Amino acid sequence: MTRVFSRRTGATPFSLVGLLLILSVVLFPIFWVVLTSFQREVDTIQWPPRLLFTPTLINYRKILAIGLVSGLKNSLVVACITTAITFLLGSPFAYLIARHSFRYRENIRFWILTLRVMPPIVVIVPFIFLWFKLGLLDTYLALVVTYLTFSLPLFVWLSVECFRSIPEEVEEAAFLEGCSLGRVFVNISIPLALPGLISVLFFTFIFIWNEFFFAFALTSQLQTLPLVVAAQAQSVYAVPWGTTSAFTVILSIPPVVLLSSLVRFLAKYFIIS
Amino acid sequence: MASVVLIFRGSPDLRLRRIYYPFFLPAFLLLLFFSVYSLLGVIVLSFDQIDLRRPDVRGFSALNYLRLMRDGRFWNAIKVSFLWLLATTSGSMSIGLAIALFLFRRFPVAEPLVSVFLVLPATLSRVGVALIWKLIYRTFGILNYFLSLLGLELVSFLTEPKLAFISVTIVDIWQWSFLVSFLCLSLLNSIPPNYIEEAMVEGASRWEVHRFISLPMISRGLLSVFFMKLVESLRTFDLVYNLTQGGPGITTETLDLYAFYQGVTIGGEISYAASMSVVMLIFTLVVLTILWRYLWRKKEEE
Repeated sequence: MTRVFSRRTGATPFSLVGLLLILSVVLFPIFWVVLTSFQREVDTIQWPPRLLFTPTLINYRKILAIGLVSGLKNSLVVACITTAITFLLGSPFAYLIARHSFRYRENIRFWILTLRVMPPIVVIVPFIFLWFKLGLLDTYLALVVTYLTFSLPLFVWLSVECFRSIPEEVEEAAFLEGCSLGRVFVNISIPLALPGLISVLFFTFIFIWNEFFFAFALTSQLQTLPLVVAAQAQSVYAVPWGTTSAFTVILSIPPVVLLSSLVRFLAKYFIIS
Repeated sequence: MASVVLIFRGSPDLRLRRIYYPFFLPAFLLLLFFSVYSLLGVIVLSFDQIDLRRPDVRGFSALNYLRLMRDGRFWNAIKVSFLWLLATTSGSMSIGLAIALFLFRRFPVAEPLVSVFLVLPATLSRVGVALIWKLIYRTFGILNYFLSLLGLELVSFLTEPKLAFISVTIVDIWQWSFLVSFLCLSLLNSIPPNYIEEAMVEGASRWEVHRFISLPMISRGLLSVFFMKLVESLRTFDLVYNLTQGGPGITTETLDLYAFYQGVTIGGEISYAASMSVVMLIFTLVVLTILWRYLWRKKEEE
């Protein structure tokens, strides 16, 4: 009777085939773009498509000359600065929500949630208007501040959970020793919550790294990597698939590298409790 | 000693402390300023007549909304957006749930590893996903090759008016349904095992266990997953723009794209775009409030 659900029984052929099918649907498109990125341009336009070819790094060398460096630089600068400021402003705020009970706390949580889920198209026009009037369109400052309004709610929502998981007794003991709230926060709460907080920071970083819409609307010269990559595929002539694939692979490396620490938080991000 | 400290510092119970403004205000004020500014801003702008091509025209009126009512392209965008929400949300929810129910308790050892692969597509940027699929969808691409092996003719997935919408929808479903299955799987795994094992002692089949025990127990979590997928589906711009730019014609032009074209890139009619944003805002707030209320009610029932 425990046959169907037993934790011990091995996989049946049927379930193995199902699993392989699922994994191949997930992985094949990604595999294919990686493969194409190592093909010469002439190999990418063969019919039937080639599985066997002489792999080359020429696409990766080519994209160095057509915007990879500046795109990487802009993306890294914007993502790192935004993530750092998000941490500085967001973690004390999240700590208060996690640990203190004050009036309107649940209202503030709902407000944070609405900010987090607001579609970008709703707020884009006032932002363009604001940065245009201030003469700040196409600057790091405009991009970072705009991203903060999205990354802060995201960071606060997730890091509240990190602070809640610290045993309260440790903090109480420090208070009884006469530590101020600031010292307890910096010397005890942050270090104890750090493993979780780092994952949340990765999450925030990837969120900004992947962002396209605001960067597209607010910049023209200062293109982040997603914009550089997207411009490749909007070419008026035939899309150069070799270099475009190489760009796509580079763009996808950070999420893949940080994947294992993102897994933990995806459930918390999407399931409201 | 401790009690003296208590008297001077108030209760050591952190939950009873007063709000500590240096921690609270910086983030709060920043968010407050920009959320009030952008929400009021979009509403005010939507009643203005700002047009970058005609800088002399100003004046407050409801003209934009009247114009929306008669704008066929706007109604098309509403229709496309609505179909998009319906197709991507129901598609990824049902496929994701089916995968989760299939995987549940089948691979106890490999599950953490499988989970990593399941969340992979959702962590990639939408731009990247769009380009991956543009590569697969191209006329002399791999998907057409597979179809030709089955004896079918070459298909233009993204430029054939009847197919473009479905093709774009499939990309979104590919990106999100595995994440949904990962989330459902973690919901299923949070059910106390003895519930399920007792049912099986009674001789219930795998399907019956799901139908009568696991699904009812995770219904609230499922609703929350559904809600998040709905919200993600509202952000169509990155994916659709990079796959079809709304084309061919306006067959895949969602409200995001239309508003963006009108207000930002081609049109320059900021106020008109803002009025579409307001429509989007109202829709989002209504959905959000209904679901939040519903989630709370379910929570109280439990």
